Amino acid sequence: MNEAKLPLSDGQYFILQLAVFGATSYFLYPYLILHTDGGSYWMPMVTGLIAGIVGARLFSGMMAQHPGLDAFAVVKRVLGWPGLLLFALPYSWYAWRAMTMIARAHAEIVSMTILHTTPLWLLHCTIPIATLLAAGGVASIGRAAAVFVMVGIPLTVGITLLGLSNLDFTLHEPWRATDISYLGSKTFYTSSFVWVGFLYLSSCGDHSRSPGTLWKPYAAAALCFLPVLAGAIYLPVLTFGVGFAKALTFPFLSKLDSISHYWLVIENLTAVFLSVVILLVILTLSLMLHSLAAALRALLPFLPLRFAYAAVGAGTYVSALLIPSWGWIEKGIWTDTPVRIYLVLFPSAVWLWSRLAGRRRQRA
Amino acid sequence: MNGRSKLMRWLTILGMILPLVLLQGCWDIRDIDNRMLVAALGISMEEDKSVKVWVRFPLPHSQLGVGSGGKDFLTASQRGKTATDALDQLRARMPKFLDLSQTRAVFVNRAMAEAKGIYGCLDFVVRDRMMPINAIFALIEGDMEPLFQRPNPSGELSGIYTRLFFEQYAGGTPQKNKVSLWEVFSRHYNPLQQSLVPLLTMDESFQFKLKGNAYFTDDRMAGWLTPEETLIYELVTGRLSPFEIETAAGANVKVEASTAHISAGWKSGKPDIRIRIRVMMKLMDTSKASPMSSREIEEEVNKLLEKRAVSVFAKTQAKGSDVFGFGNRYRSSLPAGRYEAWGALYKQASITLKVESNMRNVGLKLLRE
Repeated sequence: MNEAKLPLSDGQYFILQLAVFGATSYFLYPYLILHTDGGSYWMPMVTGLIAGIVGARLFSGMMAQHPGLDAFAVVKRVLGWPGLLLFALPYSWYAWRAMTMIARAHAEIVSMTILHTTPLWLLHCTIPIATLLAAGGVASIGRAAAVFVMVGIPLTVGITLLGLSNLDFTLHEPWRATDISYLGSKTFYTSSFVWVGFLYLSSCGDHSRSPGTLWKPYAAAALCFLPVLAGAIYLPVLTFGVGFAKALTFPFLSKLDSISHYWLVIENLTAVFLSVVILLVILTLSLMLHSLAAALRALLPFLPLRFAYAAVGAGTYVSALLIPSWGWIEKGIWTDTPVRIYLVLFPSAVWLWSRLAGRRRQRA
Repeated sequence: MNGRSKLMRWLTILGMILPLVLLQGCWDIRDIDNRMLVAALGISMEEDKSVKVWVRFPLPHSQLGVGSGGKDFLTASQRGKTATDALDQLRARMPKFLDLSQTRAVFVNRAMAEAKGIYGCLDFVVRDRMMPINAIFALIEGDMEPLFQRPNPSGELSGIYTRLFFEQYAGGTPQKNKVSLWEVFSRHYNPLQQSLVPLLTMDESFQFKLKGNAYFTDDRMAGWLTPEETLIYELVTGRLSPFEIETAAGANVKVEASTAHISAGWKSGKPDIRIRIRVMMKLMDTSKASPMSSREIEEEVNKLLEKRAVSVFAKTQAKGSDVFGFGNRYRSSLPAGRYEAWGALYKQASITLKVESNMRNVGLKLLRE
């Protein structure tokens, strides 16, 4: 295990964020956005993007207060043990739940589309692989990300471009730029899980030369991935129409199923796509496992690092297996929304506290 | 390196390799020789209102010529309360796994489409991803048995024949109007557009021939357009591939490309749809008895297509079946709550179609007499 603080460049952070977007965008996000009120799907997407960038800015602002430390150490230094408990405990809860749900959701999708008879306990082997990768440290994850993203993102973009066939633009609902009824939709807030990828980098701040600018690679990755994300929603709508797209559990995967070209050598495009996404899922799980192990170590400094990874990996594996149904995953992502929003807003509390403390020091 | 760290390194390597071995996913796999792949699936309604399912399996060629009487396919049928029930009963009779994942064509008989509708017998396809949603879909008029029992006259595998019949890269023509399963599902969920599905009948020489294209109202077949009338659908929806038409004066022209401009508005509370179609064509043949100028041929083509369009719109409007998807253009002016009323609005719609044809070259007329 490599505990050395190898620096990560902005490019590597950008790649890691791309991987997180690739892993979290396809399994539930299109369904959630299609079920927001209104019908102008670009609006909840753009709102999510802006909120994500603001959240990342706050988060990197918090990390910049003590360069060379990870988010947990920064919080501990600014707010002390009570602050650490207020941050690390909800973070651990959220990261653990998000990991189990991402792993289980992809296992379910693979089971439904490619490997119908393979048991779930076997499909969850993505978790032990991610645990081993996480145990290698952030530098190992960063290097693996470069390879995975080099394979994964061009294929994802290519497959999205193939989805441009059979589009009928009259099937789209009106743009209605003034309709903000999506703000009242439960599904809009649930969909925020896609935009909080910067949280998973909370254990990586100490690897950055300038933590204050960490939001920039996040913003760049979000903007670069936005067309692909829009494709995951609009391609099914413009092919199937809103009614059928909304009735499907995985509209984008069904869109891929509908593609048929004489010149296309690959028959099962969906299988290729899912195989690629699994690479990004492994990468994202490893990032989350690493941050969860870091949170555990911040709370229990006496915990041996190896034991922390083994415990987190085993715990995630078992809990992913215990998830009873797809409906539970949908419900789980919704019930975690308050925790997610709390974690995104927490850095502003840290920032405010440190400002107040600074003024107090000046007065003194 | 001490013994303990050496052991840890080996354990780590083992820990990395073991999941990779498992991740290739082969588990309880059914080998290809233990499956019977369905190439074409038929669903028909029987006289007692029960459902009969037909399946056609391609068989690997045997040099010994044994099995299935030397045929390269096997046909099976099964009655049931529903298509799913019939398939379940069929599974109970089969020695191998019934694999629908490679189905290339799905047929439903006309009686069922008229009496029960098509979505009800096909929804199992999307509910459980057991069949490709890009399989070709068509209606069959008459008995389904000959379609499933006769060998393909041009020798292709079952299912592939149907795809070739419809695909533009093989025998497809605009009149045949290729429809995939997902298009049928999409129309079912869209109250602003109805399906237009090929209607096939048996043919003496070939497996089947095109009778026309069936249009639907509320999921049930309401009538059908002739192959010639279908060309209007292709022109309006922009799905056109080159086709030939004969004018009243005996000239043959080939329509090579077309563009349709559709403006959808309201007039006196009723939908007002204006369509302008520009057609590029070339002359294929002309009557020597009454030679015509290019201008005259263009006018003839305009008249012919406009007249045909009137009949097509009248037919579909009478049943409130908007196969063209004009209703989709009213999404911004029609509240979502009134989408279901589009069928009634379409009946009252004023539709005008203007054709502007343009002879790109005069083809054979360039030949010296």
